[in-house]
Amino acid sequence: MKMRTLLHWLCRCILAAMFIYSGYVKSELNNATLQFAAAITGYQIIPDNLVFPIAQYFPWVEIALGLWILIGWKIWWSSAAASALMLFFIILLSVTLFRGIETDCGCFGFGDRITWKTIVRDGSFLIPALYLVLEPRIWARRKNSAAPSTIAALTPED
Amino acid sequence: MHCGRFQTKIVLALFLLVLAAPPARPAEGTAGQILGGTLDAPVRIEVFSDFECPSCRSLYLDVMRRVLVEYSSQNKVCLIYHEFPLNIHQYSWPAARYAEAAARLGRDQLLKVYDTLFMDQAYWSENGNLEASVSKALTRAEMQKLKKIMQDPGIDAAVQKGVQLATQNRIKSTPTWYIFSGQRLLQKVESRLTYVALKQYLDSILK
Repeated sequence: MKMRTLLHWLCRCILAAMFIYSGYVKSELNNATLQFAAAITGYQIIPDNLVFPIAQYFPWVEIALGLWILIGWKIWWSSAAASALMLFFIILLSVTLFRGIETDCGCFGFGDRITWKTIVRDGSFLIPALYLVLEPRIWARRKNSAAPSTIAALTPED
Repeated sequence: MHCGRFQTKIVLALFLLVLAAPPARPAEGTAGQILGGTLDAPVRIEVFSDFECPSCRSLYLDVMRRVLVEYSSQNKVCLIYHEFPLNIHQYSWPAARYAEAAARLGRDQLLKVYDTLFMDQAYWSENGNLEASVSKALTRAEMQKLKKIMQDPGIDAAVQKGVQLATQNRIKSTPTWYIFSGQRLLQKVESRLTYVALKQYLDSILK
């Protein structure tokens, strides 16, 4: 299997598994909508009347995004959405930590307090998401930079 | 083409795995104190709580009391309270004993004692003077009766039963509360929540 294909699938599987799992643990399927609502309340940034609707629908957005990435349809758009979402999480977690609020992250389950470790962990998922966004450029650049040397290598034989 | 089929199979397998996952373990509806509504109400909320825990105080005073007024009074929600005094709190067990004893006086007295225990939490958790708080909520005759009831070893057994039930359900912190519809577990929450969010949820399932 080519390196590019391997990296592509690895990033897609990591991202898809992460979004599907994190959506599932917070969703109605895990009887956790209200627990997630409690976690959202802890951030002290969302108005009370919006907490429950967000807790109800957001996990499904995550699951849908995970499935979208896994299916691979319009992969650039799905990975761009994943990157934007990851960036939003990192900003939200950092702001909450700077505000000195001690609360549950509500990221991949419950009972996980926000610390710098949480931010680094969540931030690490930005790497596969950004890789998928930048993948065409990265490989096009590699191809371009590899091309002259190939020509040079071939020249003597020609 | 093959790759497309393979992807679809993976997606389907993952989706089925998610749907087949077992739900969280439910609590039992028979033990505990019924604070409002009856067991045949469409929704049942079971709370495992500790009188000395600040989050339990806020859950009871800010959320559960409003549930009692707005839902249990119309028998839309049955609210059950389970004693779960934590070892880390010095006066939780004696407070739970007062509550169990008050239950034998009647639901009105029980609610008055719950209110006073949670409202005076900062006071009695400092000095352990539970009697001073409880006596504010009851008449002198009721207080005398309560003291007699508290001598019954069954009171400690009732508190112990709550602890056992919490242990069986692997509850580690307070407040932990469950929402049931009949025997079906709908939600498990291990913290406090705003009344607005709970109300929106209850309204969505009671439609």
